[in-house]
Parts: sequence; C-alpha cells; structure tokens
Amino acid sequence: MTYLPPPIPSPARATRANLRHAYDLGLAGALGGLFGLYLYVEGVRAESVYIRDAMAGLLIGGSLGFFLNAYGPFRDRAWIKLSRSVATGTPAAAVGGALGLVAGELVIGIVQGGLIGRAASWAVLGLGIGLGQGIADRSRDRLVFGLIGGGLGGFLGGLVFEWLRLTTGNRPDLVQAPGMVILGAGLGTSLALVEQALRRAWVQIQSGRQEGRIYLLSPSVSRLGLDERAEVGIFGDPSVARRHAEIAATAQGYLLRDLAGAGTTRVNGAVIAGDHPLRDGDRIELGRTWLVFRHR
Amino acid sequence: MIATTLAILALAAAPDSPASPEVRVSGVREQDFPRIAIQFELVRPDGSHVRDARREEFQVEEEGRPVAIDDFQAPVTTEQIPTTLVLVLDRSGSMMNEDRIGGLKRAVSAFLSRLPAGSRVAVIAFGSEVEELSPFTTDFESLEDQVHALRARGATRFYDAVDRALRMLQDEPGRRAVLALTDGEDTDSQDANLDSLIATSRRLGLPVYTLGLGNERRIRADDLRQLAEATRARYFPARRADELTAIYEQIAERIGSTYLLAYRTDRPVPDGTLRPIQIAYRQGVSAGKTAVFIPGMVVPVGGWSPIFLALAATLAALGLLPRRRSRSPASPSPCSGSTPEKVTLSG
Repeated sequence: MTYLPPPIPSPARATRANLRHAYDLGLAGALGGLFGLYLYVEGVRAESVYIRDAMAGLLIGGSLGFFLNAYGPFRDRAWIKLSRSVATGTPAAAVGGALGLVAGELVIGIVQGGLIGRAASWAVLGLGIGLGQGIADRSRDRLVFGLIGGGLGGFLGGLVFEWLRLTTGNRPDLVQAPGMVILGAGLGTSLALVEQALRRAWVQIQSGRQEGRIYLLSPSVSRLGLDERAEVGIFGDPSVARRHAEIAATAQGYLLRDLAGAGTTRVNGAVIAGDHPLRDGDRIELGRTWLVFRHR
Repeated sequence: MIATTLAILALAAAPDSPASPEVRVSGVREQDFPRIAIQFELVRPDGSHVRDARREEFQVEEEGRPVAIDDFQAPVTTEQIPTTLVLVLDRSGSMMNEDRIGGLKRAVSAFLSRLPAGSRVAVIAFGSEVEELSPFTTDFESLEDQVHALRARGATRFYDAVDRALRMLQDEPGRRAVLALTDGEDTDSQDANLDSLIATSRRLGLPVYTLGLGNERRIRADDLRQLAEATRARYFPARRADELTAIYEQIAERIGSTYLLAYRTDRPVPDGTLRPIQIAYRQGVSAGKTAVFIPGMVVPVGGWSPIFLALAATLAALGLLPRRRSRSPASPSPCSGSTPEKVTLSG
C-alpha cells in the first residue's frame, strides 16, 4: 500500500471549524439557558427573594453547565468522558449561578432596575456561571474565558430582555425566555470566541468523525489516544492506540512523544520515534487520523 | 432655629397654588409585595400639616395607571397610629463637652412624651461600640431610665449604628423612622459607610432623620444632610444641646402627622423594575411622587410552555443544520482524502 501524506490544511477549513465550534457552543448555551429558566419558573415556589434567586441560579447555572460541558464529549460520542465532564461542570456552574444571581439581585437593587440595571445584573449572573466553569476546569485560561464570555453574554441577554420587556408593554412571560437564550448563547459563543482568540497551543483533528474538533493543550502534558481519560481523545479510529502519544510543554517548546511504537506516529509525513519538537502548522498523524498542531 | 426650618418648609411649598397642600412622601415599603405601603405627609403652603384628610380625597397611580387604595390611616382618626422608631444616640467621649449628653437626655424625655400612644421605640447607643440599649418597647419609663444611665465615652461609629437601626426596622410594619444624632465626624465605622447606608435605607424605604450637634464643620453636616435627604427625611442642625428638645419635639410632631396608605399592585410579579408612584390630593397639582423598586432580576413568571417548546425545537433544528449541510453532495466528504496535495517536508 502506497503511503499518501495528508493534505496541507487550508485556512478556510480552519475558519470553518472555528465558526462551527462557536456556533455549536452558542447553541448548547442557548439550550442550557432555556431549560434552566423553564425549570425555575415552573418548578420553584418560594416567598423569599433571595431563596428564589438562589434556586433560579442553581437551575440556570446547572443547566448551562450541563449543556456546555456535555457538548464536546457528545460530539465525540465519548459517553464516559461526557458523564465525567458533566459531573464536575454541572454542580460548579450551578453554585456559580446561585452566587451570581444573588449578587446580581443586589446589583439591580442598587441600580434600581432599568436597561443598565438589568444588563449589569445578568452580567453578574453570567460571571458567576463562568467562574464556576473555570474553577471546574481547573484552568486559569478557562476561568478568564468563562468570566469574559459570561459577563458579555449576560450583559447582552439582560439588555435585550429589558428592551423587549419595555417595548412589549411589560410582558416578561413572553420575552424573558429569548433573553435567557441570548444569555446562554452569548456565554457559549463568547467562551468559544474568547478561547479561539486567547489560546496559545492546540491541536485540531482534520479527519474522521471528529473532524474540526479542537483540543487545547495543557500547560504540562496532554495525552493523545483512544483512552477516555486522554486530554486529547481521538475516537472512532481502530488504528489509534489507547495511549498513542503525548505532547509535553517544555521550556524549549512543545514535544511530541510517540508511545505506540510500530511507526504509526508521523509528523509531516515522516515517522517519528521518541521526542520530536513541534512547530506551528505541523501535521501529526496517529494511525489513520491526522491533526494539525498550532502554536502562537 | 425652628423659625428657619419653617421658613424652608414654606419656601419648598411655594411654587404650588396657595390653597392646595403638598403630598410629601417620606417612605415606601414593598416587603409585603404585591402590597405596597407609602407613608407621607400633607403640608400646607404655610408649613402646617393637614391631619384629617380622608381616603377618598386621594388618587394613587402606579406607572400612570390608577390603583385602588387598600388601606388608609390618617394621623387624626378615632384611633392614633402607632409608630415604630429607632433612636440612635451618640455617647462618644465628646458628648461630655458642654453637658451635651445631659441636653440629649432631656430632649429624649420630651420626645417620648409627644409620640402617639402605642408607639414602639428602640434605642441604639454608639461610641467605640454599637450597643442596642433597648429593643422595641412601649414602656417609655424604662427606656428613659436606660437613656439616663448613659455615660459618654469612646470613639464615633455613627454609620455602623445607623446601619444596625435600619436592620432592626426592616421587618417592622406600619409607620417607621430612624432618628440619628451625632456630635462628631464618623471615625470608627467598620461595616457601613454613607453610600451603603443610603442604599440600604432606600431599599427598605426608611427615612433617616439626622441631627448634628455642635460645630457644623466638625460634624460633616453635608454628609448628614445627604443621608437625610436621600431617604426623604430631614437634617436638623443644633449648635447647642439645649436646642435639641425643640428639634426632637418638631420631629415627633412631624412623625405624628404621617399618613399611611397601602395598595395592591395590579402587576403582582416581582420583575426587577422601578415603579413610579404618584399620590394626588383633591385633584391638586402638587402630587407626591416616589418610586419603589421591586426586586426580581430573573422574573418568576411561568405559563410560556408553547414558547419554550418553539424555542427548544428551533434550537434543536439549528443544531442539526450544519450536519445536514456537510452530508449534502455539494461539499466533499472530508474522510475520502481523494485529493492529496503535494507535500513539502519541512525541517
């Protein structure tokens, strides 16, 4: 069998993958916001403002956390990874949401409502959920992405909700759900866009059913393989080993380390063994799956 | 001193037609939402109070829409309206100068004797510590004993003391006010400051009457005035302690002239909005204006299941859209790898 090296990835394809990532995460956030709000308005009855707010925050934050954390593994159809990711992400975002909503209530009380008051308070809710996400991911970058994304999405969602409420003659029952959808979509999209803007090193899968999937590389070692615990999970290719390779961040740059042996790890078409320094744009092949390494 | 105060009151009322008394709102309470309670005074252009106006002489509007008055109490009725007050008293070391503490004790006695029967009063004294001298009580004799036993010492934690008073009042019903006296600049407050106090008292709809005793520069009169005016109350300066009795009597009179009116809003959902309220007396032009903020940044309003289903279906459809597009024959399958390009090996 003649070996055909992978094609050079086109910039258009990378852009398309970025847009798709932002689009999907935005939709996941929108669904999360919508479900959380619905659970709250139909399920919670409490007299005290702050108890009600804490419950609302738990449900909206938890639902957003569930959808945002489930999206990646769901797309990979990595069910164990999904359950693990959801099990940490959901409670963290729920607690963040509860804190954010109670704090947001204080903010809207101080500003005394209005467009800015609503937008600022929803931004605080978004910050809380973003904070929860970041802490659950135990990554400072993700925390920063979460805070920026949550703050922006919440501000925009709150602004639209209040504006719609005023223009429809005070019908929060009709217009709050779209507002919350915007909060969730804003949070998801901003998380994706801010991540795309700030990320330093990542790999993007270029073939197979995970095509387009982007994994950020950890600041220490990222494992690549079929293993559900691998930071870079590659699924659906029987020629990929459970622990196929790993990428280590060192003072000299990123190193690709082959763990599978048998000449199934290639960089730019050449079989590698042991440590191989990676440069931006390098094409990595693991079995029949290939990825692009990006670094800036 | 009183003459000046009356003159200011008269000036404030001057722009309106001479015959119509002005409605002056002094507090709003939304803790029993959807019931909203407003306390106000009815002041004639000459500064005197109207105490016997009747319920049907008032029209109340919330955000421009008339609302029905649910409960109404005038100062002069068959029964007197009890009032709930917290006196905040300065017992810092400087109160020993010129027997200020003595003048204050006499003024408190005179004040208590003029309150409407059934009023409940609590006392907070502050120096370096904020101390609840007495909880709410109608037993004014024991209250006077407590106040008379006060000895002046310590620093000035004025803001913390007022903050404590606001928290004591927050769940009390009916007519409520804080009367706070100090003779010096706040030096030692740890929890509260001017801005936080204004925010809290506005949120709770509580008037904070402030009394500054002594030199106006030393007592930061501007801050006291700002606190009082931001909470729809008044600031009273007293140069000497013997003016205090007259001021306390005037406040008692003012509190005894307060109306209490409540209505049930026709927007019973807590929706995080500031709602302007207007109270007009006898079609008078000088309607009292206020606004109440109803918390609720995320509005607990249900009954939109169709919207929920429609939005969820739309979002799900949007999620499937890119997948369908990538399966359509127009875009080549990424797995085929049918067009390998020429590879230049780098490095």
